[in-house]
Amino acid sequence: MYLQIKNITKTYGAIAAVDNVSLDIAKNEFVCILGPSGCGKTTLLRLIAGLEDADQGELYIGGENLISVPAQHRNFGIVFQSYSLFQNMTIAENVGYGLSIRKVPKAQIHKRVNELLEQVRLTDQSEKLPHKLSGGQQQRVAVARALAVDPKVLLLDEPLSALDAKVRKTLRTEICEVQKSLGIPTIMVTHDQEEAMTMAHRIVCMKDGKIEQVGTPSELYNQPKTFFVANFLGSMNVLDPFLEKDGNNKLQVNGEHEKDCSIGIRPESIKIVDTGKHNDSNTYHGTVTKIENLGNVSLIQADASGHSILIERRGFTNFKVGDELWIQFPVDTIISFSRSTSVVS
Amino acid sequence: MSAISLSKRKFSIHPDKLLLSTLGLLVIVPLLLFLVFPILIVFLKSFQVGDGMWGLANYTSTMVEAHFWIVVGNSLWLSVIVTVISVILGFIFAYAIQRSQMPGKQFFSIMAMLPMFAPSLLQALGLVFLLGRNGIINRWLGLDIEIYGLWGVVIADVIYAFPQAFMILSAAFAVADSRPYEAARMLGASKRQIFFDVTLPSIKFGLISSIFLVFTVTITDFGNPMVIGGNFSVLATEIYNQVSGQMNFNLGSVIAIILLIPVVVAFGIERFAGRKQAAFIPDNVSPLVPVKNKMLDSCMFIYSTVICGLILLVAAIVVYASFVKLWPYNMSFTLDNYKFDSQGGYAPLLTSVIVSLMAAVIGVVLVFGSAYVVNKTKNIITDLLNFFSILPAAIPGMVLGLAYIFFFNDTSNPLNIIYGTVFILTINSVYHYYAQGFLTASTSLQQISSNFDETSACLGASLLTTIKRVTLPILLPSILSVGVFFFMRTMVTLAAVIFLVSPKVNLAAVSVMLLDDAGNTTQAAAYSTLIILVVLVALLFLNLILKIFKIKTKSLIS
Repeated sequence: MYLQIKNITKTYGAIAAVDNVSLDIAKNEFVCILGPSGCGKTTLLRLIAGLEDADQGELYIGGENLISVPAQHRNFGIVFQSYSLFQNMTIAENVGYGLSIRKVPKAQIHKRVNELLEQVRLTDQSEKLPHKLSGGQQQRVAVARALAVDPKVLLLDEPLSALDAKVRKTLRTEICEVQKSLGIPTIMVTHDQEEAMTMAHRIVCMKDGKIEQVGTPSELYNQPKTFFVANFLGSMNVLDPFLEKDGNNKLQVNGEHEKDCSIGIRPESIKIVDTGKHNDSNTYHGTVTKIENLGNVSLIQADASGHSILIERRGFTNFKVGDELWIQFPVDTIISFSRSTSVVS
Repeated sequence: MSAISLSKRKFSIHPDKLLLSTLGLLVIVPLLLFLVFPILIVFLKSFQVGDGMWGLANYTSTMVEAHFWIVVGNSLWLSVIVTVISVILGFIFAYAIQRSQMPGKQFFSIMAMLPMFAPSLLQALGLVFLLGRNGIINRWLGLDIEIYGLWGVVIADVIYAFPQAFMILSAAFAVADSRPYEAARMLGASKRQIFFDVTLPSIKFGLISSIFLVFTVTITDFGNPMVIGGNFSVLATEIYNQVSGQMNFNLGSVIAIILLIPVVVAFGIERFAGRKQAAFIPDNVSPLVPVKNKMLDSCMFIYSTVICGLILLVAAIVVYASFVKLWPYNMSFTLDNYKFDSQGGYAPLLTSVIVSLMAAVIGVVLVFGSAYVVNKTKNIITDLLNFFSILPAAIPGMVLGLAYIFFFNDTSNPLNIIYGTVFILTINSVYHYYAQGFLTASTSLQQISSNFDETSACLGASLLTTIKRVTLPILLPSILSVGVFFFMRTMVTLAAVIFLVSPKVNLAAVSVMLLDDAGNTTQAAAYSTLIILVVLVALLFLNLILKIFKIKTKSLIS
């Protein structure tokens, strides 16, 4: 692997912000570090950048240990949420800053800056000062500035969080395209699961300074290892209580159910059947307790055998609060995950 | 790039860290030499009884004197009256500027600052020309108003302290979130209720802060009580009398220490409240835009006109008097008052300009250096540096001046060579106004996101490069305004330097006092006029630079 993080730890007082984390990243890979605020994802990124000193651990790039190299000698590019363009410099000067520090000849800087500005479609803005540009434009300049020095790694610290929804979506695609065309290893920190799902080749889900799970977006969504991962990427109905039920309507699960595992089902996997019987497999009688129509989907909260279940349906629903319905948990959509992380409602 | 092993990192010092440590050393050593040690000597002197003997004798002998308690009472009583009046006046004025739609707000807020561009005794001089025995009013109306004494000092100090109260309150009024006001209106609150339930609580800490600042400014003021106090003696003038008049240094230091007590207490409260006021500002405010209100706006306009008129009148009368042949008997025009025949003529003015320029440059370097180190590293030494940097705000000018005599007029001290030169005057001014400069520098540094530094570092810049190319350009406006602050304050300061001037090396503000003392009031007026002129020229010059280079800045004064 091109970039290797080995057992890296950073503590603040008694709290381990990053707790013995190891991670490998391939040369062309786009990795998202996903997690709630305070999970240590930004600290991990700052450790990789060299902006924080690690208490212990190693960081290898192409076999070279960079952990003790200060940020200014690592040659990594970084983009922050706040754009942080230097307000006293023009767009072109901002992009050329890193090169001018490296004492690259003026003509060469000029050429490189133009190339990059073309890539982010801001050629006509090059002589303007940053505050004249919109947020999305400023962030594109920040990306160009980070890329100008041909960094070994591109680090993105919530680069889209300060932008409004429309701009965010466009920039998402643009960043992915740039990353793909340059083939540069990229690590992005985000708390937005949609961003991570759409952009990343692999997602690193973090909690309390530790990695909960690493995998492709589909792995994390469809085979979450813990309840935390399952619930952080979308919602998850925990079905354990249905297992304990005696009688005919005992829940059917694929394979043998392991002792220390919980089982659950995504709201969109649950079926609503027209009629049913108590002894049909995995079919339960319920009452609608709450309806939320979101437009493209609707969320139905139902009470089944005393347990609250969230169901997602396409489009608007005709169900009303108080309606009775039959719900079915298809066997092959039931997911099993570790119980080690406590179930939070 | 070759790999650097872990063990090597442990033993080598990174150049950026070295730079920060050197910078830290460069600011903390002079702070110890020019602030902490001299102040400690004042403490020691106050306990010194005769040669090598120590004890409380100075204190006990001072405290049994009835006169001493009268002076303490005078100081406290004066400060309380001035505080109440200035804060009320400043409060209404700040409200008018920030919360009304009266016309001419910008003009009024500049006019209100006028007293800060002149030595504090300018107000006293103006009052003497207006209300003194030979003042215009007594002359024209045939009255016999006695201005010398408590009430003269009160009026002079109110005018002197008013701009400072106004500035704090104006800043407190300026940041307002419109939402609580709208919510209160929607809930049916009357204007009166909104004022007491929303407005007042939101500026509460600014109000407390202004009260204690005005108290500090008044109790430490020396110029006004000196010129217009008559027999009304306060602690600041008493130190001067003990030291300069009676050469009683130990008693002088006892009074200095006693003056320090209320100032330190007031300063502590002021700091605490000021920080709370700053923390009061919520994120993403939707700014409050005052609504037009004919009644309120016209009342506020009249009020502001009267206040600014009075301020202007006091200053104008001094300028007028400076062009008068023989006040009040021959009021014909003359330039004779500007031919200063005593007190070294124009030399002190030139010295003041030189000293002020040096103080501006040295002050800027030192306060920004301190603020940078304090903001970049957090350890016990930088905590101490932070404390020492704010400390001067709690040290009255008289006390600092006295401390400098003790410390530098001692031939066993190698720094004795600067005694009696322009350097000691410069350094004294720098450390007298260090805290205000440091706090401004610190605030502007805190406003710069650390992401700028980090981006620059990731792009390969060393700390020095980042400072040169990123930090300094961002800081430029506040560097200029801190420089102007040091220049202005040094031009007008009197209390701190009064002990340090000599007939050879004299300063303008001291000249004003000495001329006035010698009965040359019109020449004192002329000298004051020149000081104001220099300060205004400096301000205009700076504004010109800012305009030419299109540098945006908020306020040049604080």
